[in-house]
Amino acid sequence: MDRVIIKTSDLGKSFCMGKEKIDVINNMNLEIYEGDFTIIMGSSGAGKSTLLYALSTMDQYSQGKVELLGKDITSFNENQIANIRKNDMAFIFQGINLLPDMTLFENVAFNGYSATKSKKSVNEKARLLLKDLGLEKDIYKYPSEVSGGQKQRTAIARALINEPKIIFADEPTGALNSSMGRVVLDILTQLNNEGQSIVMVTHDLKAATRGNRILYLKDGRIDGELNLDKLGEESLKEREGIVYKFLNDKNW
Amino acid sequence: MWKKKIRTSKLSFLLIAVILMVTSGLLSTSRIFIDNINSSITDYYGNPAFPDVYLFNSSDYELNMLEDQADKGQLIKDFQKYKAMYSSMNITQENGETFNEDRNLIISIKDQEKLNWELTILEGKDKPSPEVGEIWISKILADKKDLKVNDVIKIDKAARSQFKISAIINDSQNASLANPAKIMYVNEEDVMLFDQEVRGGYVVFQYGSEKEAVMNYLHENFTSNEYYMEKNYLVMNQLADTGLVSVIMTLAGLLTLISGIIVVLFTLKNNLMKEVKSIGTYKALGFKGSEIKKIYSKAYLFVGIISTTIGVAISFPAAYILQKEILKYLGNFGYNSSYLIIGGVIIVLFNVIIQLFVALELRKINKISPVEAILQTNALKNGKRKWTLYKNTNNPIALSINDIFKNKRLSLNVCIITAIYMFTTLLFINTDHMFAVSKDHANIWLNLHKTTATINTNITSPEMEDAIVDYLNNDNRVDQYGYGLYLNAGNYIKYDSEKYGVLDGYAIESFSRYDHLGFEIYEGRLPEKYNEINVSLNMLRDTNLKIGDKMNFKIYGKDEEFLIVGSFGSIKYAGRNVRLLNEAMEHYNLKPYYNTIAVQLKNQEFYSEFKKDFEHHFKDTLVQANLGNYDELLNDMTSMVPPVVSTITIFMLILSALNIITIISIIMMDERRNLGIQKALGFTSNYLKVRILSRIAILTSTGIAIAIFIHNWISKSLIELVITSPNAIIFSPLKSSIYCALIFSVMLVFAFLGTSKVARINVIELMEE
Repeated sequence: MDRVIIKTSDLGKSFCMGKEKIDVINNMNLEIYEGDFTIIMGSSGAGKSTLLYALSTMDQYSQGKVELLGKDITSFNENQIANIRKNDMAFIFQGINLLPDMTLFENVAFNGYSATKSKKSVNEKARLLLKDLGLEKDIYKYPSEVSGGQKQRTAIARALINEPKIIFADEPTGALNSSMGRVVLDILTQLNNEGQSIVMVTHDLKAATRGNRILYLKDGRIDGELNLDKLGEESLKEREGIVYKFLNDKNW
Repeated sequence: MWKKKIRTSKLSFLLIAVILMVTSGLLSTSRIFIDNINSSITDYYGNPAFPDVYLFNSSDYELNMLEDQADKGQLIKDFQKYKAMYSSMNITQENGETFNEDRNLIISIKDQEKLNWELTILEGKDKPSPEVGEIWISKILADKKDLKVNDVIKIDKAARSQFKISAIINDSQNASLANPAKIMYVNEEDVMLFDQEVRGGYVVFQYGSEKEAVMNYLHENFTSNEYYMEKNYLVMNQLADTGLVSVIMTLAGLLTLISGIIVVLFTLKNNLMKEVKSIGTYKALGFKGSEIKKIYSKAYLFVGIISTTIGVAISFPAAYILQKEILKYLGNFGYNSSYLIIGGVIIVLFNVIIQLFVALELRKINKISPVEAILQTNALKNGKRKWTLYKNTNNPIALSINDIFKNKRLSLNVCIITAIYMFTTLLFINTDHMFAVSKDHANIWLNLHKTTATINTNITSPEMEDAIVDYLNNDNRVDQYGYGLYLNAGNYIKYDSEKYGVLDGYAIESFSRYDHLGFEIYEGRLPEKYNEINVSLNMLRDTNLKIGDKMNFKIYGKDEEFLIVGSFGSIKYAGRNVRLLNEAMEHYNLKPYYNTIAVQLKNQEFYSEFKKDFEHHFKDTLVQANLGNYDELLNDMTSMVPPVVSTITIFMLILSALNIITIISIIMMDERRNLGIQKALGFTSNYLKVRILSRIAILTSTGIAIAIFIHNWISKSLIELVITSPNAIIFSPLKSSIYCALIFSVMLVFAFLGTSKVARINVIELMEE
């Protein structure tokens, strides 16, 4: 049995729209396993992003609890949450969100500096990550000087600088064209193959095929689950067919 | 739609409104105040009935000569003569306390309505003159000594007769704190109560011909006018009271205007930059450029008019209260049309500036296409590199320094505004300090001696002079002494107005010696020979002379040369003073009545005994500690400055705090997204606050350092434009340091409060943008 790295118990999140209370996540009990590439899918308004934010400490939830890497984050204060964000996890945004006044290199290394690591080692690692992601020539450019794909690859490098135990990705290819999107997905797949746990929200079928576990959300509940082998040498086309059938069954 | 713009950017508009309100309010207060003070004084003394000259003389012969001249009607006109007394007098109040105003002028009158000058009864029964046994005193004296109507006072020079105060008055010839004489009025029948030696005649008249001719006549024919005042001296004294406050208000108004405009324009520019997307949307929807401009112009016009109108409206009572307080001894000057005119001009001026700037900023928008505008972000433009001092770090303080260089415009704004506010405040705080300690430096301010005792007496004969000199030489408690004639030496050794130009006023002093008596010297040395003089800085400027030059004086109508060996500062008589030695009087066989003796005792503890012995030995002399009433005179003259300075300082503090609130809200708006990203990356709110606060702390301290530098560089020179006693300009590094620390702390507190929003920045909102 794989180790559980995220566990929710009766997780609930509701919003108020005027006088009406809307439950976006309903008493959800969920386990996410180490080394998995977990995909969260669902139709618009199903609660996928809300769930991702709740799991990743980015937002608070209304009820239940979340155990992230064995720690109940429900009662964590701001410092404890900041500590988890910095050291245990990383988040890749759909909007990329690089800091505009820093170069690509600075964006990556900035989050890596700490009292326990030498600057030299952080800088070397940032350079290596950017090189591995094909950005060697662009490291001293500002975000405004590179393409969306290059920015998102920088964001991935930034996510990896502190060797997180889990990466959360919210529609990481949403703002990219298809070829750029594919490059980003290839990188995430490779990372997962190297053992990196990833939880990704997407509404893109092709992106979903990269995962080995697909959770389908409907009305704030898990309406179905598809488990696949990890993506290997087999044809993506064949895998797409399986995922498509699963989603089709869910009236996606 | 413009109303909606205001509603959606409430905070920005509110900040602009408050800054506009405070700035326009302060500027309007200062302009109205200055304009009204000057015009009120000039109009008041423009009364054609007021005499040109007021003088007291104890010589019947000389007064009769003057009366003859008046009868001829050529040289002088509108002559009035009254019996009067002029002397130093001990006045005892009902509670037994005795005070001494060393220049008391007590005039007997029959009918106040017929006087050529103006008396206004403020308290007491309005009647033609004081009745027998009654006395009218000025409000200046009443306020100073806490005297009230029906109080009874005893005057030693009137054989300790009792006088009931039956009226407290404002007197057109005694409305200035700068005038050392205290003028009182009694019934004609009470004149005989006073000692013979203090009695004389008080005359007033207007020039019947050129002033020069009258002056020459007086100088040539009169040996001694114990009290002499001209109408232009009265105006000058009155303006001296208000001049300091006026200059302070002008400076405050000017500096506030500059800083206010910088803050408002900066905030406005930032607001408009944030509107680029909205403007692009309007364009995409088919709005014309002119229609879009109208939306913003109207919004800023509305906020501008409302806020400046409130500011100006607040300034009306503020200026009125200040004006009323400062002119309280002259009369009651109410609101007038100048309030509305000045207020209106300020409202128009501010709003024109704002509209111009809005139009200029919006002009740039014309060039942007809707798509460009909508897609515009605050990201860096291609190729625009930003220099960073600290690389490879996420230390918040190091990064805050990088932020300073990355946001140069914002940083410059904080530095400039802080520097302007701080410089203004340091200037005022130190001006306040200078006045606060002025009492200890009255010798420097007023060109006086500084000794442990001052004796006021009239040395009326060579025998009396010898007796005093003998007494002081033989008193082993006395360390140093000197005696002379303050103010009136010019009656004997006369300034040559033909050669050096006519001056509004000047004072020539003569003393037996100047060394070891605390007389201040600015450059050169004190006079040591009969033909050596010191000349005040202002007089050197006016006469275009310098140390080493010879200056001509008229003695018995003949030109005599004196060598200028030194200069000094003074504010007395518009800073135009000359010092010469009694030796000069002896050399030219002049015999004035010396009126002041300065005595330096070996020990301050000897003072009481010395006073007792001296006053016992020499009748009709008054021994006072230190500078006697001169201390109080200076204190009176400067008493209006501290409340005004304190008010302006508080305004400056408010403006500094407002500026910081503006800056913080701009940072929070501009950098909200970046702050959210950093929070998502695991940086705590405290880390982000430290980064922002460090930036503010560094910029504020840089601004303060610049202000201190400018203050040390030009403040003295600025004050020297008004205060013609450079050595009296004494600053307090301690008070300056305390205030700098206070401003720094206040700014940091406001900045800290402003950064509380950091904790509330929601990462999710950021992602959904």
